[in-house]
Amino acid sequence: MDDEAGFREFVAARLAKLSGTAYLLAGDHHAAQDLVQSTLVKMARHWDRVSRLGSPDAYVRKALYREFVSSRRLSRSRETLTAAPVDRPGVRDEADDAIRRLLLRQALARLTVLQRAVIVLRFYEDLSGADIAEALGCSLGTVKSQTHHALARLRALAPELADLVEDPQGVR
Amino acid sequence: MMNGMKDLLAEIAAEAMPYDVTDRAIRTARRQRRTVWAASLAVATLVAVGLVAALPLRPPGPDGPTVASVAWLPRHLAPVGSTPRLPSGPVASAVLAYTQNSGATTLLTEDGQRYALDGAVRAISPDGRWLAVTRGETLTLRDLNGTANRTLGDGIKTDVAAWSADGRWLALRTGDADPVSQRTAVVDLATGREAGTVPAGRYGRAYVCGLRDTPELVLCAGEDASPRFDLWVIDGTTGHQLRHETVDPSAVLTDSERKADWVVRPGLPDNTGRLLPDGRTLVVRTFDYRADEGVTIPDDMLAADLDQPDEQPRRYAIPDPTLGKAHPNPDGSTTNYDTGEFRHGLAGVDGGIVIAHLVPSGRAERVAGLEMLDTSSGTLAKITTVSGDIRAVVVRGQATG
Repeated sequence: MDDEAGFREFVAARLAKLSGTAYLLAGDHHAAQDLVQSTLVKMARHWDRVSRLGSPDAYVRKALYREFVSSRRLSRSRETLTAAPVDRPGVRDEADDAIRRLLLRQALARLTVLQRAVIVLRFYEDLSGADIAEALGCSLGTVKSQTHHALARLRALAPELADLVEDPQGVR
Repeated sequence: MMNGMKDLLAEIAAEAMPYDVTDRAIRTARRQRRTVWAASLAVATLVAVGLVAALPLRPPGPDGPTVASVAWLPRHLAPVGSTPRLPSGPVASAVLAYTQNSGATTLLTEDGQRYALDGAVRAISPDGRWLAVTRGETLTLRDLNGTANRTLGDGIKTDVAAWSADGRWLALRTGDADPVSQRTAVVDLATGREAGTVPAGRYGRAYVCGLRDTPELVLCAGEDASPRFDLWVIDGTTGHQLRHETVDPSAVLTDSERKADWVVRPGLPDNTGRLLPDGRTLVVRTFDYRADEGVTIPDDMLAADLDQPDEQPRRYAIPDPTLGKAHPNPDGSTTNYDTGEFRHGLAGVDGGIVIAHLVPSGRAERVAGLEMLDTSSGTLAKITTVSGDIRAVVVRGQATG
């Protein structure tokens, strides 16, 4: 890598966002750190070319999400082996943000990898359907159907969050 | 409304700490670049001298060695209509539990009866007597042959890490999913009491790979930038370290695998090592880095002997999942997603590992069969054909998760 300093500067400016996205996707700190590392390895390997392309942000996003999808497919954890509705931690106050965060985190963990990715891309990264399709390397139709199924599943898993997960009549 | 979703996601994302792995990523990238050309050369050399065929043991044909007995598993498994709920009184020992796409979970017992279950089955003891079920962060142990129910965890996220082969001892992990913050407790099921604990973080990122009858915990962890992995044997009652060994599987790896630091990763969620009931054979999964742009896929299995850590591990070939079509990346490289078919280990049992074979089905996967990897013969044989929308199976054995 000729421009190691440039790579470090790029990463330093985005590490917090990258880490947050990885945590949303992976669901725990250890897996999120692994995801960030494997994404940065890819970036570093191709940094000379990527930096010349002028859109390293798009590349890092694509690398992160694709790494997440492919790596989680191979390491489907035992959480998927059993089924139980999301446990409601004794909801004392429906408006309690901490409880809502917990419910959403638990519900996200029950989605398929692709569903989780489209939810994070759509509602956290605020990307259009076309950009999500580009990031994930799938069709716009797949993005729409996965978004619809993901929202339906979130509603089923966490009815307390129904106000957050109305289906927005397809994605942009 | 959706702004609420965005805000909530942002709050969760803010719980992440910046994972500053930049230095490690740069070092790994440098090493991979060196490996790419070296790997091509190495493979060509191996083919030329005819060594490739000698590396992994391929499953023999129908006339090959016999498979260790797992006669307690059914030959065929399919969902049935309605099933009665699991009664509170004694029933026969469990064989397996399965979950359908609908979320319904069913327990199958040795006498062929099926019972509907509440909660998520985490593990079934090797003798089929104990059933571990979680609801939220509470873990309940149910004595199927009696009426005892034991609730463990006191509201802290608790899960089964391993059973001893004799079913008496149970290793529980409590706390966050990160092993650094997990406490491990060894419970004596004869009394229901904790016999001892290992404080969180004492062995870094090591995971529980097994529990001997003695009871001794076996912890394992992959090493950074190396195919080696570390093993610790811990006295389960005092938490004291009895042994620390490093296993180097390099001799059974290809040249390119040897240089890649993710070949053996016992800590991956589905790749925790599994100790077999003999108390000395530890099986871990290897990972194969097959595409230049970063598709790592489950590969073969390695069996190391804890009592002879200096001996090279045995390697068992597992059929490779099929890679899907290549998707282009902005820099001109491509990514091949796997097609969704894969295998993963379920439990260590007498003579080997029971493996689930999953195939794509709709938006997820379904279990197509249960297989047995016989670690004596290297045979991988289908034991149970599975039909219907069964998406997950838990079999009895020395579960680790």
